[in-house]
Amino acid sequence: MIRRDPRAERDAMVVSRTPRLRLDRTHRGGASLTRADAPVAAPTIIHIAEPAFLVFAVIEAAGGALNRHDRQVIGAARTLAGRDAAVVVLTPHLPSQAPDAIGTAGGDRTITLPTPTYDPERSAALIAQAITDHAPRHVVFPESADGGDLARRVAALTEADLFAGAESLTPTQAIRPAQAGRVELRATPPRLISIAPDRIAPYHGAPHAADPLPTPAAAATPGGIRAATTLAVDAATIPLDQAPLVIAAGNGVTDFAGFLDLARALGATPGASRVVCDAGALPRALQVGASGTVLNAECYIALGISGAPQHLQGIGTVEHIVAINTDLHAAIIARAGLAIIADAQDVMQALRAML
Amino acid sequence: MNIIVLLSAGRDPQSGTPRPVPVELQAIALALALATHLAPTTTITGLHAGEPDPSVLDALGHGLTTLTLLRTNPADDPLATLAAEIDRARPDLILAGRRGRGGTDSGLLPYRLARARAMPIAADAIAIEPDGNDLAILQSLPRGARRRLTLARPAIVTIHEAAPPARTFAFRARRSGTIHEKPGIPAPSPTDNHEIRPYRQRPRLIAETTQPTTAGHLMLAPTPETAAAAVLAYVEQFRGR
Ligand SMILES: Cc1cc2nc3c(=O)[nH]c(=O)nc-3n(C[C@H](O)[C@H](O)[C@H](O)COP(=O)(O)OP(=O)(O)OC[C@H]3O[C@@H](n4cnc5c(N)ncnc54)[C@H](O)[C@@H]3O)c2cc1C
Repeated sequence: MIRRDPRAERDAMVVSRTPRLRLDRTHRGGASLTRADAPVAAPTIIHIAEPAFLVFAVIEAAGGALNRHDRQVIGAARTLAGRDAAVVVLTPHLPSQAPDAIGTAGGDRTITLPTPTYDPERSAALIAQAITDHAPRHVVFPESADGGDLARRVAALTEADLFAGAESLTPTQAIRPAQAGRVELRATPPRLISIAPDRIAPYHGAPHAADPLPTPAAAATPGGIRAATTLAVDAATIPLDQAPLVIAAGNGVTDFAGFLDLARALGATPGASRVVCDAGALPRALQVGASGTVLNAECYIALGISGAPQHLQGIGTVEHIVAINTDLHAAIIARAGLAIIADAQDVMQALRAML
Repeated sequence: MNIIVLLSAGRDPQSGTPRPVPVELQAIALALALATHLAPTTTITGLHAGEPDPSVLDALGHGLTTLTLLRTNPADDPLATLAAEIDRARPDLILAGRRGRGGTDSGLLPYRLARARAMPIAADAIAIEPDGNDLAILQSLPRGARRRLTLARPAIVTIHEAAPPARTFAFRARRSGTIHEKPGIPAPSPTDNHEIRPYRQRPRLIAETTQPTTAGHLMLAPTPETAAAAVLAYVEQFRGR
C-alpha cells in the first residue's frame, strides 16, 4: 500500500510563497509544475552498437526528402528489427540535414547509393552487392512505381522471391493479398518484402543514430536502358487527387482569373471550396472536400477558406497546409503549418509579382 | 518486328471466374498499334505456359490472332518453359502486364525472365515506338508524371493501366484464332509455406496529420510582401516535382 504524504503533496502545489502563499489545487496528483525556464531534456539518441542482425530499408527520397511511404518503410524495418537489430537505410544522396530525418524515422545506419541519375539497373546491382556484403535478414522496399520496380530487379538479381505489397507486418508474420485480391497469403517474413502505401505505421519512438556505412563497390556495367528523361508535366492537367501541390480558392477570394493565373505561375493544381463551385466561379471538378475530391497532396494552400468539416475531410492526409484568412478563429488556421492572417487578395497579388 | 505478349490466367476480382487480365489486353492493343505504325511484317503472338484456361483463350477475341500454349501444370514454375520458347522464337519485344490478377500477383515473372535471358526490362509503359535499333518507351509515373526511356532490343516491357484501352471482345475472332499447343518443361516450383485465407480488408493508416505535425507558424497581419515571401519559402520544396 502506498501512504499519502500530505506535506509533499502540498509542497508540490506551491506556486509561490511571496508575497503570500499561493497553491494550485487544480493540479491533481502532486507532480510539481515545471518552470518555464526549466531546461528541456534533449532526446536520448539510441545507438545499437552490436546488432543481432541487420534489416535493410530501401527508400526513394524523391526530391531529397523522406516522404510518408519512405518513413513507413523504415518503420516496417524497425518493426522487423526490434530492439536488438539495426536498421540500415539505403538511400540516394540526401542533402546534409536529411540524416537527422533518417535517425528520427528509426534508421541506425545509412548507406548512400551513388546514382545521380535514374538508373534502376545500377541501383539494383548496388543493392544486391550490399546484400552480399552485409547479409541482412530482411530487405524492405516501398511498393511504389519506382520502388516496386527496383524491388523486382533486386529479387531477380539475387534469385530470391519477393513478398510484394505487404499490408500487415509483424516480426513473425507478413500478409499480402493475392488471386485478384480474393485471398491473402500469410507467411513468416521472408528476405525481400515490399510494403503497400499507408498500411504499416512509421516509427515514433526516440531517434536512432543513423551512422553512415561505406557505399557498396560494384563495377558499373553498361545496361540496356540507354537514356531516360523525365518529362515536365503541366500542373493544371494533373488529376486533382494525384496532384502534389494544390492551391484552392474559397469564399474569401474575389479575383478568380488572377487565382488561376497564380496557380499556373506557381506550378500548382487549382482547387476550390464548395461555395465557390456552387456560385459557378470555378468548375465543379475543382471542388475539394467530402462531396468533391479527396486530395493526396503533399502541400495545400487555402486562400480565404474557413475550413468547414466537409472541406477538411478532403485534405485529411495532407501534411503541409498554408492558410491565408482574415479570420484568426477559422478552423483551417488550427490545421495549418503556416497560417497568415491577411487579406487573400493582397497576398495573391504580391505572390504573383514575386514569380 | 516479332512481338510476344505474355498472357496469364486471370480471375475476376468479384466473382473469381476466369477473365483476362485487363493490362494484358491493353498490351495486345499496344502491340497492334505498333504493328499498324510499322511495316506490315510485324507478327504478334500470345504466349501462355499452363493449361488452356478460358481467360487466356479469350485474349484471341481482343485482337490477338495466334496464341502459343505450352502445356504445363499450372502449379509449375513457368520460367524455364517461357525462356525456352523465347530462345526459339527470338522476339524483338516481349510485352506483359505490370501485375497478374488471379495467381500470386507479384509481378515478378517478367523480371526473372529478363534476368534469365539477359534482356533489359522497363516497367509501366503507356506508349512504345521503335527508335532506330532501339525502342522508345513512355513510362507512366505517379502524380501524372511521365518518363521517356530508350531501351536496347530485344527487351521486356510491362504495361501500365494508363495505357490506351483494350480492343473490345469479338466472338468470331475468338473462334477463328489459331492456337499452337506444345508441351512445356515441367519444373515444380519450390513449395512456399504460405497460408491462404480469404482476404480481409484492413483499415488504411489515417495519416497522423489530421493534427498539424509541426507546431504551426502564425503570422498576424504581415505586409503582403512578407506574407508572400513566407508562402514561397514554405512551398518551395513542393514545386516542380
Ligand atoms: C453535405 C455537405 C457536403 C459538403 N461538401 C463540401 C465539400 O466537399 N467541399 C467544400 O469545400 N465544402 C463542402 N460543404 C460546404 C461546407 O460546409 C462549407 O460551407 C464550405 O466549405 C465553405 O466554403 P468557404 O470556406 O470557401 O466559405 P466560407 O465558409 O464563407 O469561408 C470564407 C472564409 O474566407 C475568409 N475571408 C473572407 N474574406 C477574406 C479575404 N478578403 N481574405 C482572406 N480571407 C477572407 C473568411 O474569414 C472565411 O473564413 C458541404 C456541405 C454540406 C452540407
